[in-house]
Amino acid sequence: MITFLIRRLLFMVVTVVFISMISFVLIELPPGSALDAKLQQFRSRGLNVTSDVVKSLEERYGINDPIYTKYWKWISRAVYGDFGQSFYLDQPVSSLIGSRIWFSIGMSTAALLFAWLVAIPVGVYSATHRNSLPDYLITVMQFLGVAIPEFLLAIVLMFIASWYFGVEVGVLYSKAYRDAPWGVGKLLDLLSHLWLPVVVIGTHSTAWLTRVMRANLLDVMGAQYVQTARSKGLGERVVVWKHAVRNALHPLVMALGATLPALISGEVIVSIVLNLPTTGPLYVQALINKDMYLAITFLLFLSILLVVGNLLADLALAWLDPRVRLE
Amino acid sequence: MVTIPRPASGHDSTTAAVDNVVDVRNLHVEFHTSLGTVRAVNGVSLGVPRGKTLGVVGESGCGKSVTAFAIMQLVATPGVIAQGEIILRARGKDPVNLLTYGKASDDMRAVRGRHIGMIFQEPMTALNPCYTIGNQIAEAILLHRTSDPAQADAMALDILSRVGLPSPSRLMTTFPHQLSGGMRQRAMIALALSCEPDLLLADEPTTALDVTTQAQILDVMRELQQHIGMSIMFVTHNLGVVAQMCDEVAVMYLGRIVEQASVDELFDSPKHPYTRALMRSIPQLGSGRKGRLEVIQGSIPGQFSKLAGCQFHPRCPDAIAGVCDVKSPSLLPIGDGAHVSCFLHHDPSGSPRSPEAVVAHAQSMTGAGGATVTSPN
Amino acid sequence: MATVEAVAASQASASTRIAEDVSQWTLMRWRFARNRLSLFGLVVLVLLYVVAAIAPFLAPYPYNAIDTEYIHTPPTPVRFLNGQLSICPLTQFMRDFQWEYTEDCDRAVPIEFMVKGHPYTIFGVPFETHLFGVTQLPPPRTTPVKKTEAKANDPLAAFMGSSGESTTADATQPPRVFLLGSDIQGRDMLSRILEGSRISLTIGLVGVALSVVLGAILGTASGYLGGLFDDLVQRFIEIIQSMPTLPLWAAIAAALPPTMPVPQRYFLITIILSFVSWTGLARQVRGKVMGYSSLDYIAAARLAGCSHLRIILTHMLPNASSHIIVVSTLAVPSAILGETALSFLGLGMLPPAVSWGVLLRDAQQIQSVLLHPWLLIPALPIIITVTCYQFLGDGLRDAADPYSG
Repeated sequence: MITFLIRRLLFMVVTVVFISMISFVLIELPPGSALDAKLQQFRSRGLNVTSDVVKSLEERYGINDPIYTKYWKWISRAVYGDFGQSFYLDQPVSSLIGSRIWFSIGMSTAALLFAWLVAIPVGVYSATHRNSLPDYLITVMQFLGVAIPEFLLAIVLMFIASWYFGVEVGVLYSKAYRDAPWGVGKLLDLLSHLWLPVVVIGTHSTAWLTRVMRANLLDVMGAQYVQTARSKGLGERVVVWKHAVRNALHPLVMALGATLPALISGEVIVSIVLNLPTTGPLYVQALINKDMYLAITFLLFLSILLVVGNLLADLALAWLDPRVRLE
Repeated sequence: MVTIPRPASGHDSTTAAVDNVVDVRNLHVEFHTSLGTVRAVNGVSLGVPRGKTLGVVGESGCGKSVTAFAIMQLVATPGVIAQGEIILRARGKDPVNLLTYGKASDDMRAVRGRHIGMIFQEPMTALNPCYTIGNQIAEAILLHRTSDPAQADAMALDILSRVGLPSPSRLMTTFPHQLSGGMRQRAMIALALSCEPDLLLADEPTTALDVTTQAQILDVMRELQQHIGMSIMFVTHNLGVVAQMCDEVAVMYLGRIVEQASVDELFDSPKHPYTRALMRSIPQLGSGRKGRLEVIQGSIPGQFSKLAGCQFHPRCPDAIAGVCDVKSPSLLPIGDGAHVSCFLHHDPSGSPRSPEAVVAHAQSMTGAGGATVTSPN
Repeated sequence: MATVEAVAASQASASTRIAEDVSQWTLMRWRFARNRLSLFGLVVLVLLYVVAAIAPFLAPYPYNAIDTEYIHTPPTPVRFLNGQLSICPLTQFMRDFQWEYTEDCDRAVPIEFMVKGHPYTIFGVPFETHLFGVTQLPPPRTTPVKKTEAKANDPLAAFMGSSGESTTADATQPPRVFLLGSDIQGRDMLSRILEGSRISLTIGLVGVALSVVLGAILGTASGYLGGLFDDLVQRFIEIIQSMPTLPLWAAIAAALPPTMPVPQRYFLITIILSFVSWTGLARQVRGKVMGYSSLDYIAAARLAGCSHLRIILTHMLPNASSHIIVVSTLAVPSAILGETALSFLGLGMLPPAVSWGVLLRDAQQIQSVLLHPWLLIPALPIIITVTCYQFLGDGLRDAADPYSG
C-alpha cells in the first residue's frame, strides 16, 4: 500500500511537470503578447510610446528570449511560489490566484458531493424500480441533464432564482455581511448564495453518474452473491444497500477520472455566467488579454486539482475494493 | 464408476411422505418474457425425506434449479410462481405452506438461511467480494441465532473449522478473491450451514470444480449432513454424483418430474423411457472404444412450443400413438416404491400396469405396423 | 436459473441460425432497428442535417439582414384571418427605454408559401425561392395611429421623442414575419438559428472525424507496435487527459487571432476540439488491437506472410470498426457542447459567423433574457441534437455489443 502510494505520488509529480511544459508552450507559443495589449492600453491613453521604450520593455520582460529560457526562468521561480507578474493587472499572479483557486476547489468539491449524494440514491431507486414510471422519468432527466450545456442551465436557474425566489445572483454575500467579520451568520449567508452554482455545476455529472449507477446496479443485482445474501434471509434493503450498492460503487469511483474534468470545466464556465470570484472569469479574461503568466498558472493549478482528484479517487478505490488494495 | 457404499435403500416413498422435510406439490413457475411465457416448472411434485438426500437430475433447462429457487421463493424476475404448494416441516415447528408467505415477508426471510440454506454452482461469484468470509458468515448468524457479535464470530469460526478449511481463524478476515474455487465452495457451505438448517438446497455445487475438489466437497457435505441432521436437495446433471450422494432421485424433463425412486431402484431398473435413455448415455469404464455412447434421439423442443400429451413423446422410442401424444401422464406410484409418469407403466385411468402387460402392449403396438412410434422431430 | 440459461441458449441458437445467412452488419442493423429510442434519434438527426443543408430555403430572410425597425421583436403571432394564415403589421415605439410593438390586425397580410425572395445557393446552385415569406404590402391605414392610453399619459414617451409612430406605419416594404422573434439588431432569429445549424451541426462532426483518424492511427500503431512507442503515446495521452477539458480548449482557442476569416477559424476550431477527444478513442482502439493481436487468425495472417500494414488494414481495423463508430458517435455530443461553450465564451466562432453558441452569447446578460426570453431559443436545437446523438450512440452500442451495459 505504501509503495503504491509512493509510486502514484512520483508519477503525479512527473505529470505535473509535463503539464506545466504543455501549458507554457500552448499559451506562450502563439504570436502576440501581453506587452502588445499593454502598449495598446498606453497608446489609447494618448501616451507616446517610442520604439526605444518598447525595446527596453521587451528586454525587461524577456519577450524575445527563446521559449525554453522563458520556461526555465518561470518554473525555477514558480517552485518557490512566485508565478510571475500579471501584465494586465499589475499584480503578482500568486496573490491574484490565491483566494480564487480555493473557491474553485470548494465549489468543485461541493458539486461533486452534490452529484454523488443525488446520483447514488436516484440511481439505486431507478435500478430497483426498473421499467416503472419514475424510472422512465429519471432516464429522461438523465438524458436532458447531459444534453443541456452548463452555462444555459446557469442562465435558466439564475432566471428562476431571481424571478421567483428573489435570490441575489452573482454575489457571494448579502449586503449586510459583505464587510462583516467571519462568523456563523456570514458563513450561512455565503452558503445560501453558493447552493445555486453548486447545483448548476453538479447537474451534468449528476445525470451522468445516475446513469452509471443504474447500469452498474442492474449488473450487480444479477450477481450470484446478491442471491446468496437473499438466501441468508436478509431484507431487501440490506441486500441492496450493503451487498449490491457497495459493489456498484466501484465503477462510479473509477468514473471520477472522467467526472472531475467535467466539474472543473463546468465550474469555469458557470462562474463566468454567474460572475463569481473564482478562477473562471479571471482565466478567460487572462486568455483574451494574453496575460500569459496568469493564464498558465491558472491552467496549471486547474490541472493539479484534477491530478490530485484522480489520486484521491485511486485511494478511494483501494479503500472500497479489497481486490485493488492487495495488489 | 459407482464405488462408494451407499446407505441401505428401501424406504418407501409412500410412508416417507409423512416425514418429508419439504413437500413440493404441483408447483408451476412461469417466466413472462417479451417473447412469450416460458413454463419452466410445470406441475412438479417431489418430497425430500428427513435426514436424507434427494437428487434432482435432468438436462440443463429442465427446470431443476428453478424448482430449488422456488422453494426459497427467490425465482429471479421475470419468473413467478403461478401455483402449487411448498410444505415445510421444520424441526419443532408446525408444517407450513411457504407459498402462503409473501416473497419479501418477514416470515419468509425467517425461513431463508434459518430453516433452508442454499449453495450455488459458481463458488467464484457466490460470495461478495467486498466483505470478509467471517463478516458474511456472521451476518447470517446475527440474523437468526444471536445478537451478540462476539458470539456470532465464535459460531462462524466453529462452522468454518468444520468444513475442512486450513487455519479457519485467519479465514475470518480473508476476502473471497484470496481463496481457490474449492475453498470458496467450502466457505459457501459454511455460510449456508451456519444456522444449522433443516434443508440444504445445493444447486449444482460441484459442477464448476475439478474432480478431486468435487469429491472433497461431497465428503464435507455428507459429514455435515450427519452432524446437523439435515436433509439435502441436490440439483445436478451428473449421474455419477447422484449415485455417490443421494438416497432418492427425482428425474426431471421439461419442467416435470418423470420419475422418482430410490437411487438403487433407479440405477438398477429405470422405469421411464427418458431415465433409461439417460442411463444408457453414461460412459462406462471398460466398455472400450468400440462401444458408442447412446444419444437420446431428437432435441429438446423450444421454450415456447406447446406440446400435447407427454412432453417426452416426440423423442420416446416407446411412445404409444393415440395415447402419449394426446394425454399427459401424471406422476403415480407403481408397485415397488417408485413413482413414474408414463403410460407404459400405468394406463390412462391411473392403475398400474404389470411389467408383462407393458411388454405385451409394446409388442402389440409394434406388431401393428411400426408407424406408432412418433418420429423425432 | 436454468431457464434463463436456456432462454439465452435458445436465443443464441436462433442468432447462430441467422448468422449463417447474414453478415455481422446486418445483424447489427436488425438489433438497432428494434431500439425505438435510437431509431427516433437517428430520424431526428437526419431531419436536422437536411434542414441545415437547405437552411436558406427555409429561412425567410438573410441571417445577417439588419433592420433597426424591428429591434427585439417578440415572436410574431400567426393568425388565421380572411381565410389565410396571416400576420399583422407592427408599430414600433419606445416605452421605459424599451422598444415595444403594437399589432394592427385590420391591415393583416397573408403568409405566402414558395415565395421569391433574396437569392441564395445550395451546393453551388442558385435559388430564389423560399418556403414562406410575406411579400404583400399592407393596405393603407384607414384610421390614424391610436396612441394607447398609457402612452398618452406617459410623459416619458414625449420625453423620449418617440411619437409612438414609426416608419413602418405606411411602409414601402412588406411587414416582417419573425416566427422566433428578432435580436438586438432586428435580425430574424429563425434565419439565424437555421444558418447557425450549419456550423453547430457540422463542427462537432468534423472534429470527431479528425479525432477518429488521429485516434485510430495512433491507437493502432500503439497497440500493434507496443514497446517504447506505445509507452510514449500512452504517457502523452495520460497527460492530456489530466488537464481539464474546457480550460485546455480555451487556452488553445485563445491563440487564434480574432480577425481570422471564418472558414479558417472553423477548421482550426475543429482541430482544437479533436485535440482532446482523440485520446479516448486511441485508448479504445489500442485495447481492441492488443486484444486481436493474440488471436489465432492474426497469427495465421502473419504466418501467411502478410505485411504489418496489410494485417492492420484488412484484419484489425475492420473488426474494430463497429466499436470505433460507437465510440465516435458518443463523442459527437461533447464536441458540439464544446464548440457551443467556446463560442459562448467568445473564444470559439466569432461574429459575423453564426453558430448556436454565438447566438446564445446574446443571452449572457440576465437582464436581457428577462426582457427577451426568445433569445434563449437557440438552446433548444442544441439540447435536441445532443439528446438525439446520445440516443443514437446508446442504440449503436447495444446493437454492436448486446452483452455490454
